[in-house]
Amino acid sequence: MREKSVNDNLHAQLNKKYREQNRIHSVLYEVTHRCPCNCIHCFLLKEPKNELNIDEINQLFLQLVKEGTIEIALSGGEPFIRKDFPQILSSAAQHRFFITILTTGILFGKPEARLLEKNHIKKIEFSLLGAGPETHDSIMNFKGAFNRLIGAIRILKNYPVFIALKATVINQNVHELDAMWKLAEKLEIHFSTSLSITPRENGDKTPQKLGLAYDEIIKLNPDLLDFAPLYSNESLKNAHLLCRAGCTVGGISPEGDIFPCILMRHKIGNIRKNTLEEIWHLHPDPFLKRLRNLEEKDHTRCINCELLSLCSRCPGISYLETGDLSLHSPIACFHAKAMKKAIEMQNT
Amino acid sequence: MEILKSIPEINNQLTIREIGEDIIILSEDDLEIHNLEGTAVFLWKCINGKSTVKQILKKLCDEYEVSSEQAESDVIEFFKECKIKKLVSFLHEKKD
Repeated sequence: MREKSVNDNLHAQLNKKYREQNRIHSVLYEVTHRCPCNCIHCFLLKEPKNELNIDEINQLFLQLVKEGTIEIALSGGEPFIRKDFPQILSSAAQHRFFITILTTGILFGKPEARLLEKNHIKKIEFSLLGAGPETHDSIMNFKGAFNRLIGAIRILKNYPVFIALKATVINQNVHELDAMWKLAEKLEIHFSTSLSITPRENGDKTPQKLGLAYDEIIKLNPDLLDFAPLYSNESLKNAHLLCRAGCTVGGISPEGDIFPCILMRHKIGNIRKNTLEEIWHLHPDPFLKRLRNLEEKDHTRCINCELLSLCSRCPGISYLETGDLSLHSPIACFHAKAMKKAIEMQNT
Repeated sequence: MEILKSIPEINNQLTIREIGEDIIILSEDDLEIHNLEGTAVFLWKCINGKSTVKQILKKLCDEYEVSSEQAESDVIEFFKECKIKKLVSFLHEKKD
């Protein structure tokens, strides 16, 4: 994984170039919504989808190359559930994308590790939802999920791939947060956490009810949470108001729906009906135009908020919560207030 | 110059994207980015695994209406740089 680029300046210039032309630099493609798990906080509705077939995916990848796309994240559902996932990976690798795979690890064994090696996959991200089988498996609703995940990680330690663990911290696993950090440390792999729970793709906020209460958050050690620092990087300054969604970032559903971002689930076209160029550049949906024309000053409530430095607002989640592009995110406001208190308590 | 007789080939481990009139080239480990503009883009697009540097030089001169003497050193420099940066290799040498 790139820790410090030898030419960060060129990376900045590259980002600027993509931004000026609204070119998709990075895309997240959900190859399927099928999954052996049934995570209690999952934001997908898991309705049966008429998934793009391998020929359509090849065409999609060709269009992404023409668009200039460099990074592609392949996720699900569980991507390895697709029998043709090896072909999808091979096609993506042939087009020289920088590929990340997001997976539960449940269907991952030595053949899958060899598949990653063969296709020069550099990064894989797993969900970790507990420090042991009891919690992890119960949140995923899949007995054996934890042991399979640890098995996958042990296999991958022998391969040149960057492994990352990501945890969504909810009521059911907060008591193991410290232990999850220790587990990642023991495994010597990258770990990050998030308090954010995404509403379902139809805006249903039920999953957010699993989130921590104010009294619980303020008792946490802020150092155990990757909070707000997401936006402390200069290149992401004020990204909680104006992010790259719809400009240099895009999302694609299993059936080829195109979104400004995988979390900003407003369909702006479908790849079966129109080309990516038509959807993204030639005939952009009014929603996409509005998104691209947003300015910081449009976020009237947020722009002068004293908690901005602690804000974790994701414009996509905010849109799912409120149905509006420029409104504040209730969950982010709640978390910022709680984090402020948690930091105050730590300092006293 | 020996390089003029050489046939450049693009390193197939690179990620190459056309962004407007520019070409972006990324090394496999994402540690190196190269941005080609103007005549460099023209030269890059002439690399086909068949044409020698000399033939590419001629194409450039025809396209931009410059003399071979004017352009030769710049073209040689471009391909030398490409080789140093591992963007191309010279696997073949055309025998006259």
